[in-house]
Amino acid sequence: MQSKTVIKRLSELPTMPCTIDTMAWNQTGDWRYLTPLVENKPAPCHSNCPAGIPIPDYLSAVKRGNLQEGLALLLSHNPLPGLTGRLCYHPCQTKCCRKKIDGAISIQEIERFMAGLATEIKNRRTRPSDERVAVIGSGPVGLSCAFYLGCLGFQVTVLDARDRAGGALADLPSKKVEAQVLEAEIKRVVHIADINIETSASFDLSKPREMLSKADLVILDPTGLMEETGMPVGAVSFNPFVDEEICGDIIAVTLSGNLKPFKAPMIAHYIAAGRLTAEKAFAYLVRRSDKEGLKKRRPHLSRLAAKVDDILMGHFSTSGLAADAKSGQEGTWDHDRALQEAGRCLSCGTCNLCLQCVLSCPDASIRLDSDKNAVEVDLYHCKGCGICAYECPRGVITMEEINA
Amino acid sequence: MKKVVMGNEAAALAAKLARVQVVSAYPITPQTIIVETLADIISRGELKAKYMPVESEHSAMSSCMGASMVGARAFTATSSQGLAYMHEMLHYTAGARVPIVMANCNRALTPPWNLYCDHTDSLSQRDTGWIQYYCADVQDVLDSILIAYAVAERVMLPVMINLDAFYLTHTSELLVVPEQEVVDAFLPPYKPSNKLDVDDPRTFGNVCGADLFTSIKYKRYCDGLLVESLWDQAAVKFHGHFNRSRPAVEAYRTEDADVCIISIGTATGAVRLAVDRLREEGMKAGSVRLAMVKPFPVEGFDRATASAKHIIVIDRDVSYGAEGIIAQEVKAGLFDRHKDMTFTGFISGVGGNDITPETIVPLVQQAISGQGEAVKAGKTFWTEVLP
Amino acid sequence: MSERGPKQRDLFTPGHYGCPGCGATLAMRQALSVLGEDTIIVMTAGCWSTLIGIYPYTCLTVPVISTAFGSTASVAAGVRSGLSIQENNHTTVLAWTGDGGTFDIGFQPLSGAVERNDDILFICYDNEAYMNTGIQRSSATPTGAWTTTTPGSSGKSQRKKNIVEIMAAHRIPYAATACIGAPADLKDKLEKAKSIRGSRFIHLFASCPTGWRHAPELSLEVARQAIRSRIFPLYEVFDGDTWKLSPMPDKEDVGAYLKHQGRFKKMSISEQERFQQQVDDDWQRLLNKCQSTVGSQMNAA
Repeated sequence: MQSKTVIKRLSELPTMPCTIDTMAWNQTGDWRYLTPLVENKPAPCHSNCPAGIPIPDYLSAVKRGNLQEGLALLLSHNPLPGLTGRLCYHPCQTKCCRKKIDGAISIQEIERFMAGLATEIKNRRTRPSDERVAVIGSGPVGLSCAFYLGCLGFQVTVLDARDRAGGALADLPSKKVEAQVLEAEIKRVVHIADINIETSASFDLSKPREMLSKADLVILDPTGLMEETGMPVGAVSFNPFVDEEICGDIIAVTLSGNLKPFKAPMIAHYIAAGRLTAEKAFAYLVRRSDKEGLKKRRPHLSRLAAKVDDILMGHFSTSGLAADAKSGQEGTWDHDRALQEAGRCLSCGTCNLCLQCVLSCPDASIRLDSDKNAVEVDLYHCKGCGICAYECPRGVITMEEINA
Repeated sequence: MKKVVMGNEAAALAAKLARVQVVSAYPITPQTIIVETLADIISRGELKAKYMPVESEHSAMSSCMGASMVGARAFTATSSQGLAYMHEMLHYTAGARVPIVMANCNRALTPPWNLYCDHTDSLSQRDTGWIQYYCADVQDVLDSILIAYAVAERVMLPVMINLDAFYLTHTSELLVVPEQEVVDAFLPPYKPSNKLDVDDPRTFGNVCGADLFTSIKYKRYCDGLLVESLWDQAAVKFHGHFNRSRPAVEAYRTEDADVCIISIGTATGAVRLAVDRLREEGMKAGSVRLAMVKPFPVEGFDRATASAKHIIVIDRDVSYGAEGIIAQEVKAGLFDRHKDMTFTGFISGVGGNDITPETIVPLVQQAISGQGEAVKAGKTFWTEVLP
Repeated sequence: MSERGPKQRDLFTPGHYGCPGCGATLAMRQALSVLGEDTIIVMTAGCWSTLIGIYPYTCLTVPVISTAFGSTASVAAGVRSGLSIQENNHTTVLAWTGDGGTFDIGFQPLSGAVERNDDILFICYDNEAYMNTGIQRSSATPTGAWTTTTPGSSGKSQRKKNIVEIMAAHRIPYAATACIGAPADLKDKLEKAKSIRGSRFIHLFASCPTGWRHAPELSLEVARQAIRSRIFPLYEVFDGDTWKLSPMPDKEDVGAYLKHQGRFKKMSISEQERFQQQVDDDWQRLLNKCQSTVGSQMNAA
C-alpha cells in the first residue's frame, strides 16, 4: 500500500480546488487476472542447437562489437567453433526466424569467423581441485568433456594412443577440416581449460586398478578410441543423453542411434555429449568427496521457448545484406562482414531493450531499470492488458496466470 | 478629469484604468458599446491587453476563465440572453475561484424579444455564487468596477457589476475620471499565488468524491460570507483615494424611517424623490438601496432598516411561481424580525417601463393605508398590466 | 523512474482509472513525451477527465484544467491570451479533448478559436463515440458501428464527420491526422506543430477496447490496421490548401480491421462491401487532393 497525502482540515483545502499528489497510491494491479512475465526464452535457433549454444546472446555481443564477450558465450557451450563452423549441419539456420523476412542468418559463417579470433580468454580457476580426471581419447567428445572438466577446476589429462590429437577428427580429409585448423582448436582448448594432452600415450584398459591409481575418474571417449574394444574391465557404460547419473570410476561414454559410427556433421551432438558428461562427472565427484557449496552451472532453460509466431515481423525491416548471406564463399568472413551479418539477428526470445513494451504501456507500469539493465513490471499497478506481451517483437513477454 | 459619458463608456474606462489584461466578449445590445470602446482603446495601444472577439458568450466566459487561471486580469461584459448562455460557466468560474469582473447590462429575457431594462437576467443567476452589485449612476459604474477587482482578487470570487439597460448603459452623465496613478495605488497588479504553473503542476477540476466535494463547497460558502465586510473595507480604502462612498447598502433618510422602500439600480433615484414627497406629506419614509445583492448584505441592511415597521420592495424582476426576487431576499433577511413588520412587494418597470415617483408614491400610500388596488392584489402587485 | 533522463520529471504516472489497454492514455503518453513539461493542458469532460484521477490526486504532472464540456477550445484560447499578455509565448497550450468535445458539443468554440487563428495546439483523441458516458454515438462514430444509441443491426447509418477537412476549410496553418499505431509519425507531426504559431489541429486515432469490443492487447495492432486499411489514413494539410500524405505501409482490405472488433460484428457481407467501397472512394478522394497539390506546386515552380 503506497502512502498518499490526505487532506484532513478545511484549512488544508486549496482555495482554487487543485490536486496535491499523484495517483500512485492506487493499486490498479488488483484489476488484473493475467500477469506479464518478462523472461528471456531460448530462440528457435538456440532450442534447435544440439550443443545448446546461446546463439542470439553471442550474436548480440558480436553486433555490438564486443567480440571477446561473444566468444566467451560461444565457448560456454562449444569449445570447438572452428570445427562446427565447418562441419555442422547447422539446424540453427533451418529454424532462423529471419528467413520469414529476408533470409536466414548465416550463423555458421559467423561461428567460423569467431573461431579465428585471437583470444585472451582464460578460465579463472576459481575452484581448483585436487581430483584428477583421465580422459581416454581426444575426439570431439573427449576434448569437449576435458574442456569443461578443466574449466570446472579438475586436473585433467587427455590420453591418446595415436601420435596426433583429434581422434576421429584427425581422420577427416583436409577439404573438410585443414590440419592447422584442428591444431588451433585443440590448442585453444588446452590453453583455456588448462589441461594436458598426451599423444602416443600408453595405457592398459584391461588393468583398471592401474588406471585408477593415476586418476580419480576415467572417461572413455568413443570418438577418440582407435577401435571398438568392447566394454573394458571395470567400466560402466554411460550415455550422457539418457543416463541420469554416473555410478562408477571408469565410465565408457556410449552413444547410440545416428551418432554411431562417427559422422562429421553431427559434431555439435558430440560436443554436447562431452559437456553433459563433464557435468555429470562433476556431480559424481562432488558427491563422492562430500564437497558442499559448489554450485553447478547449468544453462537455465525456462519451460517456455520462443516460437516463430511470437516474433512480430512487422517490427523489423529488411536489410540489403540478405542476398549475400548465402555461404559458398571460400575462406572465412572478415570482421566487418561478420558484424553486419550478426546485426541481422532478431534476438528472438531475448530482450534487446528495444523498449517497445515500455512505450506501449497505457499505465507506465513496465519500466526500464537502468541499474539492472532490464525491463521490470510494476506489479502494484499493472492491469494485465497484455499490450506489452503483444508488442514485444521478440516474444520475451508472455501473459501468465500468476496468483499473487 | 471630468467627462460626460454613457454608463457603457464608463465601464470601458474602468476596465482600462484597472489595467485588465484579457478582454473576451460577444456583442449584445445594450452592451455593445462597452466592447467596441474597449476594442478601440486596445487597438490604439492605450491599454496593453488581448482582445478576444469570441464567437459566443459561453466562450467569452470560458476564455476569461482560462486567462484568469494563468494569472491574467480578465474582463467581460454581456446582457440577458448572453448571460443565460454562459450560465454553466458562471457556476464554473465561481467554483474555480477566479476573480473575473463582468459588466452585465440588465435586459429582459425573451420571449418575446425586448431590449429594455429588467433585472430577471442577473437575479436568476443569484445561486451561481457570483458577487452581484447593481449600479445607481454612471460614476457608480466606474467606481464599482475598480472596487470589484480589489474585492474579487482578495476573496477569489468573481463579481458581476450590473447596469440598467439604457437607463444607465446609454444615459450620459458627468463622470470624474480618476488618474491612472491613483487607481494603481488603489488597485495593484494581479499577482496570484494560486494559478496554473508549469513549475508547480496541478490538475484543476477533476472528479471529486462526496467527502471532499462538500468541504470544497463549504469553504466557498464560508468565504462568501466574508464578502460584505470585504466590500465595505475596500470601499473605505476607495474613499481614502477618491473621496467617494460606495457601501454595500446605501440608506437615505432611514434613521427614523417607519417605512423603508427597498430598490436596486437606477430606480433608486425615483425612489428617493418619492421618499422626499412622502416625507412632505408626513410619512416617515426612507430609501434603502441594495448596491450589493449577492451575498445579501445583512449587516448594512439591518442597520438601514433598524427602525422600520413597514418594508416595501420594488422588484424589476420576478421569480415565476413565487414573487419578486429582491422581495424574497429581503424577506429572508428579515426573518428574525418579521413579526414586528408588514411587507409589500411590487413588481414594476419590467421590460423597460419607467419607474417614476408618480408610480411609487401612490403604491406606498396604498400599502401603508391598507386600502386600494395594491392591497387587493395580494402579496405581490404588478404595475402597468392590462386589466 | 523517468525514461527520458534523470533531470526531467515523469509527466505521466501510473494508478489512473483508464481501462486496461486504453488507447487514449497511450495517446497522452506519446504526446507528452514530445511536448514536454512546459505544457498546460486544457481538457474537458470525457474519458480523460475521469481517468486522470480522483480529487485531490492526478496522474499527470503538468498543469491541467478540466473544464466544462465543449469549452476546451475557448478556455485554451483564454489561457493563451493570459500567457501571452504576461510575455510567455513558449508554454504550449494543449487543448486535449475527445471526439465529443471536438466534433459535437465542442464544435462551435473550436471553429471560433481556429477562425481567429488562436495560438493553441488542439488534439482530438478520437475513440469514435462518447465512451466515458457509456459508448453512445457521436458524429465521429463510423458507419456500421454499434453503440448504445445506435443499437440496431446496421449500427450507425451516417458517415463519420471529416473533421480535418473542416479544419482545413478554416485555413489554419496546420492540420493533420495521426495515430497511436504510428508513434514516430505522431512525434514528427507534434514537433512540426510545436514549431508553428497559430491554430494547429491533430486528429489522433485512439483505440478503445471497451467501446469497440476488441481484446485489450490489440489496441496498437487495431490502430495500425486502421492505417493500413486506409480507414484512417495519415496526412497533413498546410494552410488549408496543401495536402500531403504521410508515409504509410501497403494498403490492405478492411476485413482484418472489422473482424477484430465486436462493434462491427453485425455487419452483413453487403454492408461490409459498401464499407470497403466507401473507404476506397474516400481514399481516392484524398489521393486526388494530394495529387492536385503536387501538381499546383509543380506548376508554380
